[in-house]
Amino acid sequence: MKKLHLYIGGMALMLSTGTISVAASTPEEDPISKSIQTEIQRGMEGLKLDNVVSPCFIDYRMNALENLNIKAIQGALVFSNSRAYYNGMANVLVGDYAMNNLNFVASFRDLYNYNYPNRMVYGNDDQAIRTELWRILDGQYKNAAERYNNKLSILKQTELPEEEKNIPDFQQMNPVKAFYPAQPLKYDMEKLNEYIKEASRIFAGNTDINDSHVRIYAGSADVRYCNSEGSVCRYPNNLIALFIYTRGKTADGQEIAMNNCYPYDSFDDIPSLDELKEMCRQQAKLMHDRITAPQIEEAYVGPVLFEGEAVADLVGKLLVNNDNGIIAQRKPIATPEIKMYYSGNSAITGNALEGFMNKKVISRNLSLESMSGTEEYNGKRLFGYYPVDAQGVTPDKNCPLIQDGVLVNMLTSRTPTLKLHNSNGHARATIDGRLTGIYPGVLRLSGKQTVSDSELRKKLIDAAKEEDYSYAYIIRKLDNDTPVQIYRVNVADGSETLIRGAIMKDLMLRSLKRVSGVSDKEIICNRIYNDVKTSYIIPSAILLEEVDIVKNNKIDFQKPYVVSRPE
Amino acid sequence: MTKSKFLLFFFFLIGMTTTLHASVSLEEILQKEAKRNLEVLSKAEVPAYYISYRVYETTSFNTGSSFGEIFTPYKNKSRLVQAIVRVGSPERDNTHEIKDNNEDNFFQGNSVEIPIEDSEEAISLQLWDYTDATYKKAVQRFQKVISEASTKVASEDKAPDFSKEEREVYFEKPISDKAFDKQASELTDRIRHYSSLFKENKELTSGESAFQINLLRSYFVDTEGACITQNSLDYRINISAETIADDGMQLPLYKSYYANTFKELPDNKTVEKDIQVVSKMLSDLRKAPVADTYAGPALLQPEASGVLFHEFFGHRLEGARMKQENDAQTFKKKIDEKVLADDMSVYFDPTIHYYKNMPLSGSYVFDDEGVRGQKTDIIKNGILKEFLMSRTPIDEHPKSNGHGRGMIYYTPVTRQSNMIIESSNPKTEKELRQILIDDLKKQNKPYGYLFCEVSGGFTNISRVDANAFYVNPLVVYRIYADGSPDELVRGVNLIGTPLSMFSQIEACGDKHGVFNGYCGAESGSIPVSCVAPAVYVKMIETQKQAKSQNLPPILPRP
Repeated sequence: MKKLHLYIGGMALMLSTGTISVAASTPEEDPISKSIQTEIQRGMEGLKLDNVVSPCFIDYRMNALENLNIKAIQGALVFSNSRAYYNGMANVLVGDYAMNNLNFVASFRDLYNYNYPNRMVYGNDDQAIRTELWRILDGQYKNAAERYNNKLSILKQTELPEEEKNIPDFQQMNPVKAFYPAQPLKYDMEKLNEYIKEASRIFAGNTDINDSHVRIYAGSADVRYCNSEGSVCRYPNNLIALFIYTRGKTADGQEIAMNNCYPYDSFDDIPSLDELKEMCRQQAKLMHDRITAPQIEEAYVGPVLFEGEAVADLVGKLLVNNDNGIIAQRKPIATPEIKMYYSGNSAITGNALEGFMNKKVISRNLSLESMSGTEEYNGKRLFGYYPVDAQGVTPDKNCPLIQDGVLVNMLTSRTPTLKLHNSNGHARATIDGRLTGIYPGVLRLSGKQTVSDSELRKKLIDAAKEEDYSYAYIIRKLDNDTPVQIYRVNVADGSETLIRGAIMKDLMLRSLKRVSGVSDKEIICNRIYNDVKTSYIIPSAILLEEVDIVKNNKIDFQKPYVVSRPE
Repeated sequence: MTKSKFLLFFFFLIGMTTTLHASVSLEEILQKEAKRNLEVLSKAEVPAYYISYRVYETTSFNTGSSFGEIFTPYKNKSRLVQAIVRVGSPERDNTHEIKDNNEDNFFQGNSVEIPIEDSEEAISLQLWDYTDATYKKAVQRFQKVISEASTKVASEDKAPDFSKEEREVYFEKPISDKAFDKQASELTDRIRHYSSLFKENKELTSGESAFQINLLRSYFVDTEGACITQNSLDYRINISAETIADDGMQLPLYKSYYANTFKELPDNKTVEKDIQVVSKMLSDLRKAPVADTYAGPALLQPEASGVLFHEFFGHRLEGARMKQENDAQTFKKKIDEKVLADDMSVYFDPTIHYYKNMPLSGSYVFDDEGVRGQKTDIIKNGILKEFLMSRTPIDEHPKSNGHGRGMIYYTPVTRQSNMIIESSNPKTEKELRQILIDDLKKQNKPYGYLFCEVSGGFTNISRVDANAFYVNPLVVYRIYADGSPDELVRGVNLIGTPLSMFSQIEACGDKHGVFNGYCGAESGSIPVSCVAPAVYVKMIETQKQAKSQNLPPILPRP
């Protein structure tokens, strides 16, 4: 990633960061950004209907995206295509920063983000760009005005608690000018085709696997963000994802499927062909092990050791959510009908965890910080790093969220919540421009007191024995509540048996209060959530005191194939 | 044998071995797997008696443009396969109607993506997995068909569920897509130019143009011996623009050009002229009065009349529907009855690519059930003679005439192809107009309607709702009985019911026009065409068109 060329306002800061790159057009020189700014300005000045409030804020985020998609099955190409297009998302607020059309839920659509980017012309013709934006802003203004009036009418009938009365709807901020040159992904389509085909060939002839494919997706976005406050930002957003998919069936009819995703942000980082083939072989071996594994026999409530990727999966499941995790969620104004039907939804109630600010929420041995503004860690470039969020806010290099088990902050956007009124730059958009909400970029979970992996394992076995168990469990990969790789460990001899058919019950944030041990090794795991990039810097293992593991009764056992497999 | 000869022989053997293992064609892969599966499934507890595989291999290029700038060029190649497994017997199988339960509609279907390269191992494995799932679903559905036979009244239609047809082997050589890149590049420049011409008119809220190049290579293989490989190549250019009236009514206009070859596409002059016409028409439409509801005589220009026939008549000829108990079966018992004026005839012909030099988009050699498409005379001199048939027979119509069609995601059902309407006693435009005016005077009506351009239509064919149709006109004029100039109006739909509409069609024009478009129904969106003359209708009814309640844009277009 190129060095930061960030300048805010005055000359002094510009002089201290050095010369701005002139290799590509800066926001001031960029004709597309100029067209966007012109139309935003025209909208701010001219969008006005009689007896209707004016806009107080307009922003537009445009993605110039080039992507490719290649898929192969057993050495044969299924598709190979690439595409370049522009799209964008606009946002019009009417009223003022204190009270506007935001934070209002009047329908099912408002609860979940069903807004998709609008198309944009693929070029820099000023009139064509502004015409597309003109159409979008006109519609958005009218829609915003209608929502604003509806919101006011609901408010007139609602007695808000005192603490909620004065929370602004949207944080006003100083303009930000940030420029990061685009980083187009360079690739040879023919070579990539062969790469994917050869890797997928690994599964040919494998009688455990009834369906498989290897796929690569690569997207390179040049993002432009402009708003009526004067912010003009331009930055790249690249994503490459390798998928290895396999599906097979056990003898008793349980379908086992694995769709492993390996994310990167540069072609320099993707595995070589030999490495990718080896990854496929490993997955094939694991498929065999899972297909032939015995089913879980009895329910278990006891210590469980989470290792490797499973620690990232655990953090993602327990902490990265807006129900009771570290994602701030504003409690909106809602119509009575919505409140009645969706009362249990955090999009209506807000995030319950915010009420625990400055209280212990997890083990005092653990701390969590956001490092979304940090480019490198221990010499390694961080996949989840980003220079500017989707609302033009720069994330901090280090932002403590939980310190020694105590909640001190949450991930926020420009929508203030009950206790958190400032954005720390976590409004995220997908590679294709959809605004998905608040997501982490880089999260680091660390232990104050740590032990070696062998010590952790010993603790696991000792704790199991203490509970009168002849075995304990190690989980190495999770898929939400389902342990994909779960091993029963014999406490007598330490041998491991992979099992299947298990599910974790009642695993929630408070499970992290009872942590028996944290590894002294650190690893980095990368994830994509809805195409939003995240890196987890985590201990390589965590031992939880008590986890419920039971038989998964939702598995559909199918009849075997009637016809034999083709030779 | 000397060493050198031995080596030569050795390498020859290697070469032979390599040749023996050369790639197998897709047709061979499909045939082998269909046969292999049926051999076992025909002996299962619920035996299968028929398997077919249909593959659509699509290569497409498309791009759009708006006011002189391009959106996004897109090129794609893909292959999708659909498997059909029939269990039971042709007399009663899993496709039999399950009454009152739309969730078990056999026609929903699905498809699976397969490699675009002919890899026997990869494709066979996918087919095997997919066929197994399809067979099990077929068995599950068949159980419901059988149990319903005991709990519901017997179907009125006693025809078997699957017809006996001649099977053929047919092969067309692949069409190369090498020229497409160059053609796409040229078309991109053209549509950029076309959409830029709309910029001049500041009253327009959108001004667009787009093109599509679609090459479809379809394969059909079944266990009765059919093996069909055919191509379909088409080119389309569209222009479209929209304005909005002060009362919020959105007013679009479209023009599309269909061609079987690149050379056949219209030249720039033609399209530029049409753009000027569209642009001016939209400005005129903005100021035009909103028409009120009306019942009375009307003239329909060829394009409008084609869509009218497609909606009120075409869908009611689709044979497989008439087997369904919830279908209105409007014409099922009307064979050999007079339904239209004596001079009128209607036929469907998928085998022709042109009608009087007009390219047609509903053409094919074999339908999606592997039956050769046939010219089918539906109405001869006003008398109803036949229906469009697929391999789902109905009483007294036991054979397919090659009209089983559907998108690859859906099971084929009876659908239309190229519909041609002709009259043996056509009138000139002037004569038709005079007939209208004479009738207006007789009925003491001040004006009648002239429907010119349409965007499409819709019809309902079930018994649950009123069996009505509507056609959505874009350009409509009032023709005054007193000779006043024709007046452009907006905001009406043409509505009606099928049987009464038939009896109102009195005369046809002497010039044909074609509507090339897509028809959407149970088996998805398929290309069709309607070739029709202008028609004079004694009595039509209009209703007000639904309109947007949005205000026009606040700011002027940049």
